[in-house]
Amino acid sequence: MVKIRRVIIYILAILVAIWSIIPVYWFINMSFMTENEVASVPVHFWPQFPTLANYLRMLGYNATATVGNKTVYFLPSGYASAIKSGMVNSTIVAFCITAVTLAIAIPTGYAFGRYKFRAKNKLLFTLLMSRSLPPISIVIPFFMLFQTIDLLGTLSGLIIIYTSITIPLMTWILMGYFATLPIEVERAARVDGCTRLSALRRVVIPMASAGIGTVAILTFLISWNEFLFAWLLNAGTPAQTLPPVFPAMLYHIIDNTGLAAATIISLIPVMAIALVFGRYITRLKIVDPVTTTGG
Amino acid sequence: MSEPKNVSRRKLLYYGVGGAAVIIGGGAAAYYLMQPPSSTTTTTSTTTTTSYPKPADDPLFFDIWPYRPDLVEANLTEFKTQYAPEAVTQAVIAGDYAAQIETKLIAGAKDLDFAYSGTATANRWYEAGWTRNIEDMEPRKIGDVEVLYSWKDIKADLPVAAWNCLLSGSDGKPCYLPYFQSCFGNIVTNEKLLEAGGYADTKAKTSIYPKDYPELYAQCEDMQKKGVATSPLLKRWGSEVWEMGFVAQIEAQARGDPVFDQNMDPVFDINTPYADMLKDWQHLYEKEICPRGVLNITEGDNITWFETGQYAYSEQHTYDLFTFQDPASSKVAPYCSIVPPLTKNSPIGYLLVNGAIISNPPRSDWKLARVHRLAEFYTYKDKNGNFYRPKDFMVKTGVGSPYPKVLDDPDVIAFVKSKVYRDQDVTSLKQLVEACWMPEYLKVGWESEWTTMQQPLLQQCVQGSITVEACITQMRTDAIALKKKYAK
Amino acid sequence: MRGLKTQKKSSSPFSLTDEKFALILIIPIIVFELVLVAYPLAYSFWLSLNDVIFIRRTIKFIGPGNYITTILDPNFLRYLFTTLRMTFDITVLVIFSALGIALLLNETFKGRTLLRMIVLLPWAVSEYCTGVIFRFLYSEQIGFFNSLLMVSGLINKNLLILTPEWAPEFVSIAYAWHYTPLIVFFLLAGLQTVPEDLYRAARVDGAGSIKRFTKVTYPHLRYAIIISLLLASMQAAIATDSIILLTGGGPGIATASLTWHIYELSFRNLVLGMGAAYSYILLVIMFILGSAYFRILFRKRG
Repeated sequence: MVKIRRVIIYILAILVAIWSIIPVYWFINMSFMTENEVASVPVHFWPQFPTLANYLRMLGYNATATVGNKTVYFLPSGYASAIKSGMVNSTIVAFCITAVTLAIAIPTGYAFGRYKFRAKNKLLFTLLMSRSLPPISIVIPFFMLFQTIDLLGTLSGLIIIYTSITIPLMTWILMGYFATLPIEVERAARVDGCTRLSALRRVVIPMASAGIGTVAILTFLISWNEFLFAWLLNAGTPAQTLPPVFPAMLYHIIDNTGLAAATIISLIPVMAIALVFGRYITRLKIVDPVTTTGG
Repeated sequence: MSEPKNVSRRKLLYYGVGGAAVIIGGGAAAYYLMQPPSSTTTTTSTTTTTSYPKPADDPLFFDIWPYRPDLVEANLTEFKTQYAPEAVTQAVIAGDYAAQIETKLIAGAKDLDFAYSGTATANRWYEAGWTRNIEDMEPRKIGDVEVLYSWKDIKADLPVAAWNCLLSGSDGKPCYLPYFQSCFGNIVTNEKLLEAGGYADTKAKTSIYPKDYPELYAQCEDMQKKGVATSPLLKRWGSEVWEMGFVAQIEAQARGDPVFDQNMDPVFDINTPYADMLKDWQHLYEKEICPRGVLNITEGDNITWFETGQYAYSEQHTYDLFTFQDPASSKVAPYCSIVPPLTKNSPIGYLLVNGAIISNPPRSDWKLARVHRLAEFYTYKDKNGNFYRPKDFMVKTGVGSPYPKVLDDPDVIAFVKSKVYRDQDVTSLKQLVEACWMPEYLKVGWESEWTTMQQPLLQQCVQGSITVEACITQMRTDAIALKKKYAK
Repeated sequence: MRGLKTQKKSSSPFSLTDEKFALILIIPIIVFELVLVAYPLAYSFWLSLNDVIFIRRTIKFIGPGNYITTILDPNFLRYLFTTLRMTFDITVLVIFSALGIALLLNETFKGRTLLRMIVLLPWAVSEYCTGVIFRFLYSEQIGFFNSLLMVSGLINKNLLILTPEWAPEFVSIAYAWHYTPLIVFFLLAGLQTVPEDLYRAARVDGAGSIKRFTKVTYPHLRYAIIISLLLASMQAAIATDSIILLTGGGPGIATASLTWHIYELSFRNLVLGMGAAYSYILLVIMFILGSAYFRILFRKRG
C-alpha cells in the first residue's frame, strides 16, 4: 500500500516538474535554433543544428551558425544595446527600490506589528486597498506629473512609482513578521535602558533579519519583473529598463529566435537569485496582519 | 528623571534630521545622476556671430529603429567622413517607435533632429507643428557648412506618385523626406503549392494569377478542396493595431469603394463593396481558408508562417519578397513570386513611402543647415552627387528606394534579378510600383486613430460575433465622431 | 528599575508614549499614501470628468459624460464579464493546483528540495515573459502544444488554441502557471504548522487519505486557503501584463478585460477621459472586493 503511495507521489512530482519547466524549455529550445528551424513543420522539439548565435547577437556580437552544410552569418541585433543598457538600468532600479522599500516598510511594519495607535485599522485598510490598486489606473496621473516635473523617462521617476507596488506588499509581510517575533527580547532591551528606537535598531531588526532578507529579495525580483510602468513611462528613453524590449521584439522588427534568446538572458539573473536565495522565499510565512497584530 | 528623556529627545531629533537629510540628499543625488543626457545645444540664435561651436560639442540627434543599425551606422560614418567635421548621435529606439518619437517631439525635441516616420505620422506631427516642411531646404553656405541640393531637386527625381505621398494634407507642402518605398498589400505566392493546385507550372515558370480579390479567394477555396493546403491564404488580420483596418481599406479601394471622400466623410456603407468584402472575409474565416489563428499573430508571425511553406498566397510588403527567397530562413525559397497588377481591381496595395522628418525646435541657421545636410545625404544624394545611401540599402537589404535612378542602376537590377523567381518578376515589381498609389485620406491626422479603433471591430466581424451591418455602422459612427472631434 | 518599558500615560507633554512613537514611525507611509495613492485617485477622478484630446492638449469639462458613455457602451458588460470570468478561472486554477502541489511538497521524498526549486521557477519568470512564452506555446503554426499533438497523432491539422470562445481560459492558464508558486509556499507554510501527531492519530483511527485531509489538514489550513482565495482573486482581477503580451485583448475582444480596455482607451485610442472613467469603475469594484476581505477576516477573528 505504502509502495503505491510512493509511486503516485513520484509520478505527481514528475508531472509537476514537467509542467513547471515546459514553457522555459520551449524558449530555450527556440533560442538555440535558427529561424529556418522555427519555421519548420512540424516544429523541432530539439534543435537539429544547435547554435549560440542568437545569444551572441542579442548581446551585440557577430555570430555564425552552421545549418546543414550552409553557414549563416549574423550581425549584432539592433536590440543588443537596448538589452544591455536595459539590464543595467533594471539592476540600478532594483537595488534602489529595495533600499527605499526597506527604509519605509521596516519602521511601518514594526509600528503596525507591535503598536496600537489611533486610526491603525483605517490605515491598515488603506494600505490593503493600495495593494489592489490596478497599476494601469495610476499610470496616467504619474505620466502627467512626471512630464511636468521632468521625471518622465528617468530612473528616479520609475523608482518613485514602483513604491506603489512594493511598499504595501512588503509592509504587510513585515507587519506579520514583526508581530510574531518574541516580545521578551525587546522588553529586555528596553529594561536595560534602550530607547524604543535603539531597541528597534539594535535588537528587533537583527532578529528579523531573515524576514527582512526575504522582503529585500522579493522587492528586488518584483522590480526586475515589472513591466507596465517600465513600458509606458520609460520606453524609448536612455532610462529604459529591460522589459520594454520585449513588446518591441514582438510587434516591430521581428526576430523570433532572438526574442527567445533575449528572454532566456533576462531570466538568468532572476533564476540565479531564486536559486541562491530561494530558501528565503520558500520558507516565507505570510501571516495575516489583522489577526496577529490584534487589530 | 528628566535627563534620559532629554537624551532620547535629542537622539530622536538627530535621527529625524539625519534620516531626512539622507533621504533628501540621496534622492536629489539620484535624481540628478539619473537624468537623461541633455544636449549642450544653445538654442539662442547665433546668426549675428560668425564663430560656430564645434560639431562635436553640438551633435545632431538621429533616432532609428532596430532594423540594421549596423548599416545605418556605416552610412553615418560615411556622412561624417564626407562632411568632416561632423557629429551625429545615433540612438536606437526599441519600442513603439512612433509613440516614442511623438513623446520626444511633444517634450520639445531637445535631443531629436531627425527621425523616421510614415505618411500618417508625418502628417500628424506636421499639423501639430512639431516638424518642419522641407521647402526651406535650399543650397546655401553658412560658415563652413554647405547645403548642396534643393528640395526641388528631390521633387524632380521622384515619380509624381511618390512625391505626392510626401505632401502634407493640411497645406500641400512636402512635410517629410523619402527613406524607402514599398507597396503593401500585394500578394506573394508559393509557386510550389500553386502548382499542386493546378495554377502554376514551376518548370515553365508560368502561373495563372487571380485578377481580383474574389478570384483570389475562389482559387484559395479551390486549393483547399483539392487538399493542396488546409488553409491556403494568409490574410493580414493580426493583432497589430494598424494592419487589419489598413488591409480592409486597401482591398475596399481595389474593389471600387473609395472609403472616404474629399471631405473625409465615410462613403462606405452596408451596400457598398466594403460590405461585400466583409462578407467574403466572414466566409474565409468560416471555411478556414485563412487560418483562424491569424487573428492572434503579429506582423513578424505572418512572415514566419509564410516561411513554413504551408500557404499559397499571402499579403505582404514587396520587400519581403527577398526575405522569402532567402533559403537560410524560408522554406518557400526559391519558389516565391508576386502577383502583378493585371487589372485595376487587382491586389495592388498602397504605395507607402516611409521617410524621415526634421523636428522643429528653435535652431540656429547654422545648425539647421547641418540638419539639412544630413537629411539630404540620408534621403537623397551625397557630396559626390551619388545616391549613396539609397543604393547601399537597396543592394544590401532589398528595401526599395523610390528613386527611379536608383532602381535602374545596373547593380540594383542585378541584385533584384538574382533574388527573384523569374526574370518577369522584375517587371512585375516595377509594374506594381507604378500601379500602386496612396489615397489622400491617409494624410488626415485622425485617420490612423480611426484605423486603430477598427481592429477589434473587424476581428469580431470576421469571427461572426457581430454582423457586417453592425460593424460597418459602428465604423461609420466612429469616423464621423472622430472627424467632429478634430474639426478645427 | 526605571519602568520605561510600558509607558502608556505620559507625565510630561514632551515625552514619547508608545502611541506617539508608532505615529512617528508611520509618517513615511502616510507620505507614501498621499503621493502614490491619494494623488492619482484624485487626478484620475478629475480626468474622468473631462474630455481630453491628447494630441491637441485640450481638455474640456463634461461632468459625468464619460461615465454615461461607459454605462451605455454595449461592450461594457462584456469587459466586466471577461474580467470576472478570468478572475474566476485564475482563482480556481491557482487554489486547486497550489493546494495539490503544497500537499505534495509536504510529503517527504527524495528530490523534494529539488522539486521546491523547480516549483518556484514559474514565479521567477515574470508575468510579461509568461505572456511572451505562452504566445509561442499556443501558436497555431509554430507552437509547442500544436506540434506535440500533431506528432503524437492526436490531430492531423493545426489546432487553434486561442479561439474566441476559449481564449480567456487559456490566458488564465498562463497566468495561473506564473502565479501558483506564491500560493504554494504560502499554503505549505500553513501545512507545516499542522502537528504530526494529529496525522498519526488519524491514521491509527483508520482514516484514509481523504478523511485525513478533511478532518486534520483542512481545519488548520482553512484560514490560509481563504486568504489565498482573496489574494489570488484580487491579483487576478488586475492582471494586465500577460494579456498585453499574450493576446492583446484578442481575438476580437475575447480577452479584453477591464484593465486591457483601460490601456486601450488611454494609450491606443488616446481618450484619456474615458480611460480614467473606466479606471474608476474598476477601482470601485476592487474596493468592494477589498472590503469583503476585511469583513470576512474580522468575522473570522471574532
